[in-house]
Amino acid sequence: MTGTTTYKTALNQALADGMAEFPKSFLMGQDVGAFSIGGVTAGLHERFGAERIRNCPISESAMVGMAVGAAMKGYVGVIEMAYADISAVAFSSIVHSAAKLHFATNGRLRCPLVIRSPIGRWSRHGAMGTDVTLSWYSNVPDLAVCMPATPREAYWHLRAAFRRPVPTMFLEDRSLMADEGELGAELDDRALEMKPGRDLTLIAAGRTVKIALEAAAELEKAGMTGAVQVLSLGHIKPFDGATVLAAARRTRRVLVVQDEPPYGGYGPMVQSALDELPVDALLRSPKLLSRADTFLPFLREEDHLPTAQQIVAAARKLLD
Amino acid sequence: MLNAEDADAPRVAPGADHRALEFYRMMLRVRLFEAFCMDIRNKGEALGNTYPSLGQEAIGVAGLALQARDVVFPSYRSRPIFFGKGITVEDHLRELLGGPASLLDGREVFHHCAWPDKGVMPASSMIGGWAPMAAGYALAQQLDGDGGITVLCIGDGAFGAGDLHEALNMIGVYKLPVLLICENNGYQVSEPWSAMRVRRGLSRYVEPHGFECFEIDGNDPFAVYEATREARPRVAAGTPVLLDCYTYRMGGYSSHFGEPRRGNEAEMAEWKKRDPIERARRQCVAAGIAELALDAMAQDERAAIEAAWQAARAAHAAAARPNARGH
Repeated sequence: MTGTTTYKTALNQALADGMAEFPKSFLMGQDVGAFSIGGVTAGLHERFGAERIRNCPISESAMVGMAVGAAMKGYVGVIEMAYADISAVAFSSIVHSAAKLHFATNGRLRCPLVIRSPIGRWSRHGAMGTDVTLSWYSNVPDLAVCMPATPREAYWHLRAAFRRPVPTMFLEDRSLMADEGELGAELDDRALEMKPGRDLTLIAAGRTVKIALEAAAELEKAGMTGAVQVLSLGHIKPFDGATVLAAARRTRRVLVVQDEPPYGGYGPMVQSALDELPVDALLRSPKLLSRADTFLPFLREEDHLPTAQQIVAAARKLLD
Repeated sequence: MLNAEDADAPRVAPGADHRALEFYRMMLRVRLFEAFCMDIRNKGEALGNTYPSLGQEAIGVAGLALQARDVVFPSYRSRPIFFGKGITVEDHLRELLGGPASLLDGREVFHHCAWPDKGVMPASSMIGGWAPMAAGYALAQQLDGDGGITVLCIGDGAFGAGDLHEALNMIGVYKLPVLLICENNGYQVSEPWSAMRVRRGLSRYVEPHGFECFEIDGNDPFAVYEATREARPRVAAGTPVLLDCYTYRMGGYSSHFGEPRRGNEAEMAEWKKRDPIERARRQCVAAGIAELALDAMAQDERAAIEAAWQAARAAHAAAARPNARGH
């Protein structure tokens, strides 16, 4: 596909194309119909009608459970949470009803549902609207976890989520909605090299890919030409350990950047994968740059998240 | 009453005497089966815990008034309706043993076992958590317009669960084809209903959601069957219905909790007089069926369970593979 589009339009297009591909599909959420509160579902109500684009009561747990029940009859349900944070009230339905269905029925029932949980950063919603919930879900088997960084990832990963036999926790990011890019060629669920580099691999997902690329550009300008590689994970589950290990073997220095505190998420996952390498494979110990163990405040949330400047500083240390 | 042209017509033909025998046979099979499962568990021949339906067997005949395209989302204690949907004793025992000879290959505990192809869907340990799944299946039936209905079985203990209330609202507002059957046995493990909610019956809670609500003698198979048969077309046409089936759990909550229900001796004695198995037998006798024939049938059922157990064990042994510890 050619042409530039925004992250939000890419999500909208993926929903429209996914629902056209699967006539047995529907979307549930609050204010997702004629009035689309976040804009991601704009136009879908007009195209697919109120039966398939359903405005629901504030019953997140029931929405997820209903999508699981409908999946038992061959439907793909897309659930829009107002915020990723709100998925907490549906946690039981997500983990016990959705994720365990395929396992518990020995594969006799598939559960291809998509839980779109927008991360509310930069939207001034305080600690209950800005959680990055990736690590909440990363230890749930049979639950794919996706955090797209670009319009291309947003589009292709959302299309793929419709086809997966297990549910997908899809963590789109409000702070990226206006970002532009090409939809490009179809992606699979492997990590994507966003920028090649020789001496250091930056591993990121979602918003941190953007600041990793900014940091890499700054290091280029500072004369470190071709030094820094940037990998976008796209999916945290399934985790693409092979690409991570191949990159680490080549550059021999690894810096992971994540917006969550360090107790979980892909940072520790990458570090655990690197344990597979021989003891002298890396020139430096791998470094994790993460948020401190704190919630994000209403004001100055940016003070608590990793920045491009911090990445530059950490990269310089590793490259020293 | 029954549409002869409908290939999905219920398996029980009209005629009171025939139905009385059919109900009694199925209910007795459930009673004997539940006792058999506890027995083999206590002897260590099977690992699975069970949640016996002792005293609640009559509710299972609801399954006989359903059609093949209808599905059941069961509670832990909905075993009787599985038999009503056509799951056999051997089907059950294969799952109880688990392993490659079973449908689910030992993935799920016995009280969650599902036979999706036969319309028996998975249960959940999250009490009430299956109510939204039932609502979702009913939504798919509504979207497909295939005329099937979803039977959502709950115990009255599920009334405390938020998921149930979210689902009831959704079912009502979308007019989903859901038949809600409450196995209202009045207990939440060891606690009586009066400690858990203001009214025993669920009708006054559920009716405002847009359900038609009926209180049923859950120990009378004829009452359960007729209510289900009458409700089914209304549900299929988009009016959700509650059948609040009053009953009594005559055994423990499970094979293993051993919870006390202090001071319930008088109550138990009272409900023993309304034991649904004895009652179904009296209904057979009233319909003119000889006691000797009923005794012979009971013997046949016992023998059939034993034969099914031997068959399930043989299949299990033939397909067995060592586990990670080499056993």
